[in-house]
Amino acid sequence: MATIYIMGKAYRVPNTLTIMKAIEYVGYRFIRSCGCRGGFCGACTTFYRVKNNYKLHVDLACQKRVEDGMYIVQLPFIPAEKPKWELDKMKPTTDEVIRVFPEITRCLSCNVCTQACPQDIEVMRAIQALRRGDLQDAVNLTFDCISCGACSIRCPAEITQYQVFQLTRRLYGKYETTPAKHLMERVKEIEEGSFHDEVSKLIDMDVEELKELYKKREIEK
Amino acid sequence: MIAMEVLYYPGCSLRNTYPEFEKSTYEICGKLGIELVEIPEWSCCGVVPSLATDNVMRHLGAVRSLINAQEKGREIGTNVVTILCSMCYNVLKRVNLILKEEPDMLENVNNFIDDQPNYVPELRVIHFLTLLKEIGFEKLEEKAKKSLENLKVAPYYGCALLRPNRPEGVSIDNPDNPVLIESLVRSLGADPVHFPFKGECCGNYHIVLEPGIVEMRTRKIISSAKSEKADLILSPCPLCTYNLGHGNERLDKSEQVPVVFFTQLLALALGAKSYLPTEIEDQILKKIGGKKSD
Amino acid sequence: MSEIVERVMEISGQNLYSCYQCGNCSAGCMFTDEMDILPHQVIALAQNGDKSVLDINTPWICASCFICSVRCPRGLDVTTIMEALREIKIRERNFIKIDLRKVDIEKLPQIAITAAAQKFTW
Repeated sequence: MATIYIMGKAYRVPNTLTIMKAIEYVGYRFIRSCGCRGGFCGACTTFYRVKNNYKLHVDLACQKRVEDGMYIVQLPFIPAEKPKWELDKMKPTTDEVIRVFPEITRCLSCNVCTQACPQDIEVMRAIQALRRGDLQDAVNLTFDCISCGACSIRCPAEITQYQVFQLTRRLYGKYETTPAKHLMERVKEIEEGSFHDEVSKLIDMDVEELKELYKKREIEK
Repeated sequence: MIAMEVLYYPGCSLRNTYPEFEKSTYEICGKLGIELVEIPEWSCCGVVPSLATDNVMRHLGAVRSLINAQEKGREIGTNVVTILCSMCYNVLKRVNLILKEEPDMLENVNNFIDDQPNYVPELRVIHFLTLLKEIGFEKLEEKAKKSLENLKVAPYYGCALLRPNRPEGVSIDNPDNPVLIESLVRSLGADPVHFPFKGECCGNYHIVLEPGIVEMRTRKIISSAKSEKADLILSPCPLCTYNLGHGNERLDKSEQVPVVFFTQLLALALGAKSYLPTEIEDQILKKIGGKKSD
Repeated sequence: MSEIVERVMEISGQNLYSCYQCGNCSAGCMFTDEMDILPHQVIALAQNGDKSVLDINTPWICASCFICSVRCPRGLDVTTIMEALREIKIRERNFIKIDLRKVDIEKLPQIAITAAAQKFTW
């Protein structure tokens, strides 16, 4: 068992539970700060300290197991307004990214963003890659980003790193990567209506028929 | 051929706005046998150093770059870091000197940076001009393929290469009357003009919020060069180059003086690619009469 | 020692009382045209603990070129004193000197934006 503090109140929970499960174990029902429960959506960003230690930690509630003496608080939402960008009018350069997000020039290389990332992304390294003119490096480093916002809320320069990385990846994807031919072909098939009949049949089925179809589906052993 | 490896800090401008500054330098180094070893994972220096005694946070970008330089330097066996952009040079040089002089600040910074090795301030940060001086301008004269005779140049130093005077060691030459760039261009046959505005500030960051101030400063600098009949102004700094360009745009064609990076002229003289705009390169070649040195 | 003098001395590490008003700094300064009052006059105000020194434009017109510091016969780092006066305002809660999202980003090179961002924001 472990003692954890949820919004300052102490609870005893089994120490094998994740933070999310522990909060539900003691009786809370989530109406926010809960999403995919699989470490992918970034909704359950949780900040915590452990008793007798000054260090501030960040993790995803659905992935992180409780520790004895954990003081937690959840941030279901990080305030960030996404500036408007027009991909069609932009070039795939780091200069363009910095023009959309000029606050990147305030980066001090303090590294709190990297310390905060629950996905172990080297956030500072990626931002500095943009300063170094290396778009591809920034893309490769931030592939695992789930936009949880922990980096952004800690950043002294007030940069919203996840939005910066989203623009970086989109620019790169649009202009630098080769388009997937098979994807383009499939999209064309869909637009031409090749799957219209099959999909319509599924939509028109009632729940019982769907359940039967599901039970009889092909399963690879 | 001199064979030397030095650590190299490029700086953001050279990768984003003025690639010609870096590319012409690589050309020069190719001719002189200098290998520039780029510091891995360098951080933006911040352009303007923090002058407040308590703003240690602002030094972090520079310190992280110096630590990476230190580690790479230990690998290849050098402690010399060379820099092209005079603003980056000013920041890194000063941070290095301050950390040498203030062990408390060094300790503070080393304690905070817990994901990199400790910094031991033993690196030697020098501007590329100083590196060339140490190699010896006579070596440049030897390797020159074109004589720059008849070309009048106004060597612009700006602030960052000459000031402040504390901590000591920032200035690349006598701050009241520097002649380093003059000696360099003379060794290539060019004629450096008398240029009393060579160390005067171009306006620095004011281009963002008060461009009128930059226009006022650069008008004086450019007209000083023009009145001495300079064909070119040589610049060591991307920000000065931008500001002087801004100033040029607001003058009549007859009052303008083209601004180029000193490495571009040097590359031209060494018979390498200068990355100059065609118009300016043609003007220079016409002036020097395409003379080859023996 | 007044509050303002103490604060400026803390942030700049400079002893304001060293200044004997010779005016060398102002003579060397290249930006005086736009200033409300001259650099050495700013120091006089600060020496007297006059808080209105925080409302004049001189520290904001300063371009940190260091000529004043280099010329000072008492070795006072005047540039850093200007920085301290700026920092006192910049560190205030909700003080905005520059809104980075509102500058003319299209033409300005990255180096200029970085310099302004690092100089005018905390």
